[in-house]
Amino acid sequence: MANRTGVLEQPAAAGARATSLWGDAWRRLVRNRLAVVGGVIVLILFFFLFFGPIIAPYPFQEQHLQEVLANGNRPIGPFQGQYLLGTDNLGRDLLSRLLDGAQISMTVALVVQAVVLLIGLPIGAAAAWYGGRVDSILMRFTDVMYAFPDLLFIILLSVTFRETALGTALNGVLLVFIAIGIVSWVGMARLVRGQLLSLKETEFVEAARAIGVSDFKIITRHLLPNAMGPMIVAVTLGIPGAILAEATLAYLGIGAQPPRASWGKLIVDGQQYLRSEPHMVILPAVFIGMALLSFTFLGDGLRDALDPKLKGKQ
Amino acid sequence: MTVSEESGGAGSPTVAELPNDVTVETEEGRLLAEQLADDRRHARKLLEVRNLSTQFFTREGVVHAVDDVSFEVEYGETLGLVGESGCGKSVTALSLTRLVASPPGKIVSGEIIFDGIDIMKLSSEEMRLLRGRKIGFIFQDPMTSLNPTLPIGFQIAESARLHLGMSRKAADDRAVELLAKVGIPRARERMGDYPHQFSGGMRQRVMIAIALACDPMLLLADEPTTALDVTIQAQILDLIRSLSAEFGTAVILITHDLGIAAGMCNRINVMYAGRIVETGMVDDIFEQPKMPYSWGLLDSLPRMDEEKGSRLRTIEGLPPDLINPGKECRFSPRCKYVHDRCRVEEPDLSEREGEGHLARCFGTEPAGWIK
Amino acid sequence: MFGYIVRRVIWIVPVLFAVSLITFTLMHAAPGGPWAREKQLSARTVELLDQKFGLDDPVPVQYLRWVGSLLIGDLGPSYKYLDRSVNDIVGDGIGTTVHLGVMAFLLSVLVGIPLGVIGALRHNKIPDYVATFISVIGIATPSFVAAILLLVFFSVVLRWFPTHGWDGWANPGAMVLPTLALALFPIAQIARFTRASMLEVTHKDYVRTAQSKGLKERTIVTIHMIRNALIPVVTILGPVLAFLITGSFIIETIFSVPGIGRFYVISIGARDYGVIMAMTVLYATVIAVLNLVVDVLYAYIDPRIRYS
Repeated sequence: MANRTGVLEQPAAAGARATSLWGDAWRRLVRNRLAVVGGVIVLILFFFLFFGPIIAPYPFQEQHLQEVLANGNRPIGPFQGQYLLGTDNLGRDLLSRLLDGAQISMTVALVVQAVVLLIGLPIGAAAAWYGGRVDSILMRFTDVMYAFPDLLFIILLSVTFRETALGTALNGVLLVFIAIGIVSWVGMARLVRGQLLSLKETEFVEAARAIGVSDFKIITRHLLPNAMGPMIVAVTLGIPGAILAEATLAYLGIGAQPPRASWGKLIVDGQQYLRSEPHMVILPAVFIGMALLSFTFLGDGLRDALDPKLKGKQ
Repeated sequence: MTVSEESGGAGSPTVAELPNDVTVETEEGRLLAEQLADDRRHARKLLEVRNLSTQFFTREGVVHAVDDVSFEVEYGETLGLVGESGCGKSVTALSLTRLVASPPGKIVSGEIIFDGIDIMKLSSEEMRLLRGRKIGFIFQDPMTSLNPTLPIGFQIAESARLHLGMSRKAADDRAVELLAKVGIPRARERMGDYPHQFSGGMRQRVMIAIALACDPMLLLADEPTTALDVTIQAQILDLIRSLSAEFGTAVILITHDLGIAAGMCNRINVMYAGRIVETGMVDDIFEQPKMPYSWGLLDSLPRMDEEKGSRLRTIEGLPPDLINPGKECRFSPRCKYVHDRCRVEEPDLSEREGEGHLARCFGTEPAGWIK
Repeated sequence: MFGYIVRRVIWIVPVLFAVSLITFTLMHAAPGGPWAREKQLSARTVELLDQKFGLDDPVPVQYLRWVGSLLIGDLGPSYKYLDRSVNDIVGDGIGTTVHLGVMAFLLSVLVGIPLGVIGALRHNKIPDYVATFISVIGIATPSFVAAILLLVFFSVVLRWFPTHGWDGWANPGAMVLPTLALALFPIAQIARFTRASMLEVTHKDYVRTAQSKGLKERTIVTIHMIRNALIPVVTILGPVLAFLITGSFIIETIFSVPGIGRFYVISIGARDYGVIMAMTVLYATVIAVLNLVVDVLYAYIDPRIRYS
């Protein structure tokens, strides 16, 4: 057989699009219709968070008792005049109250996740990086926290401090943030720890250390960005839990105190009118449902989009 | 029972030649008739594939993974399907048993005749009965191809119980027998073990046992050694070779490594970009390949007599996009011997020296420019 | 494996200590004390009550005394129902709560898993949409909302089921709505998770191997796919069980089910520290044990995992 070397000519056109992790993920995300819908609703909720009080037709605590009395002492139903979504039994405009509730829920969502990140991230990172005793302590601590059912602990905390200065700040809402946050940071710490542990042993970390990069820089510049994906997903998917917890607490009478209009509280108020004026319960329930679903779908979409195992698959 | 005259093979008797006092109702007659059927069979091929085209309908377009492929496999022979990743060899094998994931894949045209049976005309139930029973499959990665939550003994015995109607005990015995045959020591004890308790090479042996459980006529081995250590590769290949010889099983060996194909196959099909670009007996392919791609493949094999430290030779460039294959020769962008004609027209498979030796290249045709 | 179980069981003890300490500290940090009532009791009465219940001792002493009594199974006195001990109260209601919880759990698993499997197998077809729809409703609806809606719709409007009056099997009709309301969210979660897991399994190589053997689709699904798909699902059983426990608070309250969940809620409102502390530790114990069971189950069904 003759020796034929170099059967090659010019290389074939590659035809591959340049991709980056985030660009890829974004493209995958927007293809997911549910996630997009969820994202849009999330944006609307954020809008309510900042501009709710401005666009609300009435102050949420303002009562219009004359109209209620004129209506046979019953709450006014939706689409019946000046109150777009009707009123409650004290003549307070339901739409405005729902917007206030949106503000509460969104604030809970954001503040809780901020607390979770502020506490959970450094602790998880420290546990992963320093290992040894620090890690053991964290793990034991999380075991204890896991032993407490979340809601139970939140209720305990809220009830305990209900009448303290902390408890009455911001109409009781601050206490809710803290209680939910305290329970939730553990999950994030474990997640960060897990992510960093697996990244810690990689070669580029070894290289960075060999060069003499400081621990802090390694963690912040190299490890954390790689762990960002799962963290973002965890934060997003943690929000429905926080919103649910807040609504449940409000239902139990804990947390946001009247006249603030947490959605859970609105449902309590509306319970007795469920047969005659169901809108008082249905509307808050719908809002809660939308909030929960939108963050859940968005979180699912983010998870699918950021999952590196899906790279290249249809 | 009538036997048509088209039975080939010198010396095979026809009914007309049966002695007058022998009818098919007697034992003798029956045996003779069986013999006739057998002989007749060996005149036809185990597998005839004609103009097979399999496509994948994706968001980016239609991928022509297998484009008008035709070949044959005789009973008991070992055929190699050789080519680089993405050339369509795996999809071809999956198409043979209609295992192509559909959607998005689809066999859009072609004929597949297996043991005289038209595969494309079977119902899915009939097809299912063929799989495992007459056609066995060995997949590339034994780590993921075995079910991690089932004992290996069960996974082997399953086929035997389903297709051969064996009782649990009989099937288990057969599984032990097969395990021993593929070289797993202490077979009976290991029946209850799980895949993760075996090493990579052992797992592939288990896969071979599964594939051969019902004594199939054809074995499709898709890169059976690619995921294994080099030292284990040889063992597995030897095993496949000896078992197929022992049971008379035909084998289609799919690989990107011509060296492996050389050691195992009677004939070789070289595939590129979804087409067969050269086919022939193994000796012909190695001694007088007639297609520049084949030269590239052969060339890229490292040799013992090379200068130490010299660079490995590669075929530069990338395989073409299978979404919109043009009318030109698909290898032309990478071919050193390319002429203008290659860029506008695709050659057909035409004959070269050697039995059944065909190549798809204008340049190596008798009137071509490559000598 | 046995060693693992023993170690886990031993580990529960310090965890429970920590839980009890935290709970105790919280209760004592809260202002108001256990004797706050609508009518203010006289200072003298408070002093006498404190003496009677040992609340005038130093805090650490109180703690140790309490832990000591816990260890022998005495859950302590109730500060609201002065004539009943926590043991009595728990004894009365725990059967009911467990009954409700078990039924809700069975319902979640027996409905959730098949829903998820069917949704995955008939991906993007009608059964998938139905399964997904049910899951979506379950996630979007907080249990108290579900409870209220079910109550009003089926109980008040349709009158199919009573609004209260749980009495176990003596009154089967009264069990339907509470169980359903409690199980709705777990059904949704389990279904979603199972569906996702099954979909992943569908793409695995060993499924292709099973197909290449010519196995029937039904065999492939039931023998090859499901057991692999269920393994990750077991990991969410822990949170599901925890949810059933906390969910029982609300459901029992709304449907007036005489279980300990309802009492817990009442005690929290009434600052009945005795009940609160004891039941918190009780819940923590139950959850720790349940988590252990789930972990063992997980190792049992996945042959790749064997705890050393």
